[in-house]
Amino acid sequence: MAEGEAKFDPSVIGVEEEIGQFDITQEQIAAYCAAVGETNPLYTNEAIAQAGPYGGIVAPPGIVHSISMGNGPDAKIRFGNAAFHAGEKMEVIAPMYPGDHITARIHVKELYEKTGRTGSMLFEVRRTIFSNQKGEPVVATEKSFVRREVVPGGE
Amino acid sequence: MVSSQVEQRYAEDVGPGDEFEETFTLSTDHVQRFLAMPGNRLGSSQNRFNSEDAARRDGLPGPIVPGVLSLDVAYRVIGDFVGVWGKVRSLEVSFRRSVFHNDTLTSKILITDSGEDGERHWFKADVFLENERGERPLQGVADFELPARG
Repeated sequence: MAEGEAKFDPSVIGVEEEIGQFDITQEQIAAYCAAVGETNPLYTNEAIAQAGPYGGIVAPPGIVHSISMGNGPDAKIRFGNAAFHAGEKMEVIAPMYPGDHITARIHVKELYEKTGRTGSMLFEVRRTIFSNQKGEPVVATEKSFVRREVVPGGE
Repeated sequence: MVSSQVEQRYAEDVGPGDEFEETFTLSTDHVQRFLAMPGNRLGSSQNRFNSEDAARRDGLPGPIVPGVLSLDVAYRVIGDFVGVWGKVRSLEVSFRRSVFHNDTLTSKILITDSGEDGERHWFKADVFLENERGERPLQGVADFELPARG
């Protein structure tokens, strides 16, 4: 359970869990495009998209961010009093088409401590793979979360 | 400096050292639309993303833009850059500072490397968002491909 001063459960590393499913719809694509100011015809113009590489409109990969999923495995972290989303990698693997049914599976990829200018921090890296109804991966995200102690009124 | 827009760029037209940028405002309307999307629970309660009061309780001067929305906007700019026939392979970013509602952001793309792998013409680029205060709330790297005129 313990590693250095950080308290977490390393046994969750690599354990995969399904955290949700959703459908890709034309309406969802249009709503997402409006939210991010998307005008790329791959996502917004059926006529141009039909003549493009995918034969029709596809979903912008970031649409996976617009749907809340479950949390997945709990590393039972007891460290610091502040947590924030420090970074993310999004890999685009294959197109998502309207009518696709997407399943998201997550695992904790890494848990590690690091000491920086502001003191000790604990990093948790969670990788989510989104797959279509054929089981083919379409998008993968790796989110890094940082936990650290924040002194009120301090840095 | 070339302004980015949805047009088709080709591998022959782009090389290391080239810079591109696009300026836009990430408005409260954008954030509200994102939070209101079906299945998005981020907007289901008063929080730092949609409420002045909740943001102030968290020590912020005003509501902020969810990090994933900033990432998605950066992706949009790169997607516009590669056009219909290009492919964005990945975008990896660090969130350095908060983006506030109605911040005017300039997205900058600096091409750092390129090459060919068979018929694939790949590129790497540094990407960042800069606000009107000169801060860079998001920065990272992108991998993408462009078609050849061929």
